[in-house]
Amino acid sequence: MPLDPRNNEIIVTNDELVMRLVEQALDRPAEDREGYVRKACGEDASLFEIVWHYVTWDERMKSFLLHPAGSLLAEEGELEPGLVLENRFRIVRKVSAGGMGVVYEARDEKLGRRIAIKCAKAGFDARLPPEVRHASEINHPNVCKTWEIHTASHPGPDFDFFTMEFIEGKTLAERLREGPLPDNEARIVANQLCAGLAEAHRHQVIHGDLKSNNILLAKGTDGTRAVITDFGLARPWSAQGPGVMSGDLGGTPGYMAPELLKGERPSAASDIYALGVILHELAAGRMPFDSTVPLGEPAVRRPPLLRHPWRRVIARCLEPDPARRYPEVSEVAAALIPFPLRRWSAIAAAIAIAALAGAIGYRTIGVSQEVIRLAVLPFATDADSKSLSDGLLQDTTDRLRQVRDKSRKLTVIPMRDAVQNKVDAPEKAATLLGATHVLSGTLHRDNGRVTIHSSLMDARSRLPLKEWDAEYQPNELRSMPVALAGMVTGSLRLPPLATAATVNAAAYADFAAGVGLLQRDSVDGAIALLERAVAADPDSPLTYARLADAQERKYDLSLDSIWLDRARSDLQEAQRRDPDLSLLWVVSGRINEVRGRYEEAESDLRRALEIDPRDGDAWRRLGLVFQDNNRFGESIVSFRKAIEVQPDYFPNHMDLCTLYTQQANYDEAVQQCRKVVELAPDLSDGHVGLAISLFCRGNYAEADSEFLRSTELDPASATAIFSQAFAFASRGRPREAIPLFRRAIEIGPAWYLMYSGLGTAHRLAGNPAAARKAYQSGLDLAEKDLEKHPRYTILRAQLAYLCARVGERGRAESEAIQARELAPASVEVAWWLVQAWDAIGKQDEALALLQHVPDDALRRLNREADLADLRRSSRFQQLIALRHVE
Amino acid sequence: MASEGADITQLLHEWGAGNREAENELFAMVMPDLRRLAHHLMKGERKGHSLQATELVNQIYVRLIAARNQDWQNRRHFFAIAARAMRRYLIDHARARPDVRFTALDIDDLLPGVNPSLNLALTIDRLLEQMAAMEPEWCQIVEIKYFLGLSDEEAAEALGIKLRTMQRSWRDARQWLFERLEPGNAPRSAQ
Repeated sequence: MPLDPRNNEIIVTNDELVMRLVEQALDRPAEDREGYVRKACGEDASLFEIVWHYVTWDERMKSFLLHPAGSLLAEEGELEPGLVLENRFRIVRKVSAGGMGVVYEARDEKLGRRIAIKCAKAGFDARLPPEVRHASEINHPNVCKTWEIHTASHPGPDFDFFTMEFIEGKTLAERLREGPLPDNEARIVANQLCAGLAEAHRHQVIHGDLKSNNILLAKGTDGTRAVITDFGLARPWSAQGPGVMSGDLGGTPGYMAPELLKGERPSAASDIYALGVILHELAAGRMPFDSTVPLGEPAVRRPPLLRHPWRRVIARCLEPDPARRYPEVSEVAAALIPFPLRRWSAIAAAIAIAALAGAIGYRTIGVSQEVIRLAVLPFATDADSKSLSDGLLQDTTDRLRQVRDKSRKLTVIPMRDAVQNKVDAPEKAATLLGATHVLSGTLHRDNGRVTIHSSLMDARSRLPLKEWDAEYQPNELRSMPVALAGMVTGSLRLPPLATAATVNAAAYADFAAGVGLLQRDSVDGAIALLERAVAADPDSPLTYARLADAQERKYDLSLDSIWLDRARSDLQEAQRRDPDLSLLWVVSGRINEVRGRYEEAESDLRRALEIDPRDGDAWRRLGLVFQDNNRFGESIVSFRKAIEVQPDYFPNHMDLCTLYTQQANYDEAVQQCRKVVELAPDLSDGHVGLAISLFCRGNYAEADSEFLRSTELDPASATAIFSQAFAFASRGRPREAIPLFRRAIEIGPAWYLMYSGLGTAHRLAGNPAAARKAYQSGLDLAEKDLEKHPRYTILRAQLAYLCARVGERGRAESEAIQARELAPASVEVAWWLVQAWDAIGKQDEALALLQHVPDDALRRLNREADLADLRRSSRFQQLIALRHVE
Repeated sequence: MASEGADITQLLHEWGAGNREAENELFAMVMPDLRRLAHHLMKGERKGHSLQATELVNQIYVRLIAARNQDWQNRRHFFAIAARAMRRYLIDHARARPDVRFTALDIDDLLPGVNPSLNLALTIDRLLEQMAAMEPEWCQIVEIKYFLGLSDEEAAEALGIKLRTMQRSWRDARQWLFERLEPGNAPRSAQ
């Protein structure tokens, strides 16, 4: 039945009529179509012609042109510049399409940094193997850092990609095509490769396809850096294309160890084999074996003989039997060092250890002998208290007899012997009893309360080693022998007695909870609970020690010295109960450090470490104490020890980063900070530290992005804001720095360095009045700080700078001279002093300092510091040129 | 970019009048976004949002013109240029692909065999040059449907014509191309 156009109901135009009918016809099974159309068109023959025309052509053309041409792209699977993946990664360009993956340069819009993205080539299995996830744990300058692995769903079917460090530079293969590397460069590259590979193996990550194509030579301000890429990728990306020979086996022919060709899985040993091949390439400029030999042919593979110092190392790496190769990459590295150098490094290491061992505090006079013979003399006391006194001393003696030391023996000569031999004065003990040391004292009892005064003396030299007083209530007396014995072992550097400090049942709950709160920096809550614990178990040294710990932390936060007093008194309580509690010494060390008493702090910490050598916290604090005391070598050793003992505890790395930054070893600083960021990626301070060290090294772009990240993570962090402000000011953007400094000051707490920065920013922006005002505020604060920490030399140097800026020339000079004397080895101090001298106009002094500053610091000074007059001087220019630190 | 809104309108007019240089300029402006559009469109199936692609092209348009005016003449031209640009882009892309190589030794470059749809697109592109002389409106429809990949509704909307009219012309155009594609297809009058 034809549809009547006059019938307003449905269809109006001819096109609509025709198409409607065509569609309906095509809806029907093929055999029914003609019938339907005839019926629908009725008598309208021309309509029938038209509709039928379309129907038949549709059957002929089928889906011709119905799939959009854009599917070309989908099949390609290639990512075009401008494409944004996961709403975050913007493709910049394709970089390479080697092996089984395509690499793009991209920009991480979220973090604002340049990265590389790698994904599978079209036609390959687009899912990443789990091995790659392990690779992302490795954090090492010679291993390409991979970050996250993502799954994207467009264009085309799901595919995995991962983000990694963007490295600008040639591959080693390309470089070698241009000619062999000079000897020293080859050596550096070899060492770096070993370092990177060793680190990977340490993480149980096997590379699997190590070759010179996979090694990038990154250009950097600090020379070439060899970076190994493509960890764990080779093998499991299965090729879907027609089989290629070694592609199936997942490696590259010339680099594959024989066992791999037999079908065994890659291993550390096969990586070492590949390393050998690369070493050969470095040494000889070509591969060791003729790579046109077909694979699978048994090894008639003799490496042509090399006359090269590395030939033995290479030969061993290339051993067909994996068991005969080097078991570890570190051994390869060691083998590459020429022998005389190797001996020197061992010696250097020994010296470092000796230095640490030798730097024991001033209290250890007379400790070096093999056998300590301690005479215990009866304490002087009144008649009523004699038995008590003797009894207590006997208890002490018994305890001391328990001491076991590996290298030294303690012989206690009990009181009875002294009495029998009429040793009535300590001075006679040496000759009368053969004593090396003497313990003597007095005991006084008053209303049950017992007061003792004891002293330990070197019997031959008669030098007093320790004086010690204590008071005990009657119910506390059982602690006295413990304390006295502990005093002795402490002073004589003997191992502690095996009294495990405990907390009684009544106190335990509060104690544990208090300690828990302390871990979370809920200091007030911790103090409350620990006070209760103390009350519930008055005999325990541990509760007191922890309470003192909490109180010291409270002092750190509040800067109210009442807390320091409380902490000290609670520490004394702890010490009375058990001086061999290492915690006690750690807290004591902190308190001394905070009070600027560095020698005491060092001594306390050393005692803590003798008691418990695995106390990472103590090592770390020791590192800080050394640092404050400008003993940098020892500081580094201590921090490294802390790291050894507590490998993933990030504050260790933070502190080490700061230290290295201050000593202008920026590479190490960056490495440590990267570790912090890796361990605690959401910690704003970690990113600040990294930003600063990158900045110092001249990696401004990455530093900027790290600054950004730090402020993102904690917008209220004065540290982050302030550091960034400093960076701006140093890079010629003082106007942007000014509001940031202000903001940092606003957030507080007020710190002289913030004002100093503000002053400099104002000065550079051309506001001398505002600058001077800021500098003056800084100076006022700095003076107050210096009073509290007179030994903090960096502070003194900064004070000198501030004085110079404010016009107090005389004072600036004297402080500068003093600072230099106190810390001749400190680069950070020199940094500030150079600026101070320059500000006063004393270029000679400034230049004199610059002579001794390391290259990296000099470079940084040239780039950053505000040394207007100095820079203009020809001598400065000469120095820069001479040291090649443009 | 906003200040160049007038220029784009001008360019579109000029392009409508046959100015090739205007076409080049428009391409340059539109190309980065179009790439993104292409990727978006080619993302497997488009899940039911029938006007999604139109929206995207609209967005590009709006971004460039910085005004949400429903200037039909301009929009139509704009879609046309977008489709033309897309065609240009895809073809250039297709032509730029390296010759297929397959060698057992060169494991770095494994490529699959010749892509059949690649050849088709190139052929269509060539044929469109002929078609343009005879049936310019068909040419636009092919560009919009085949190269830009809009749905029937989207295409009709973009061209500013009725759906059924578009569908009919699309069938006509396809038939025209089909006939000329294979020598075996005898050309027959479509009317």
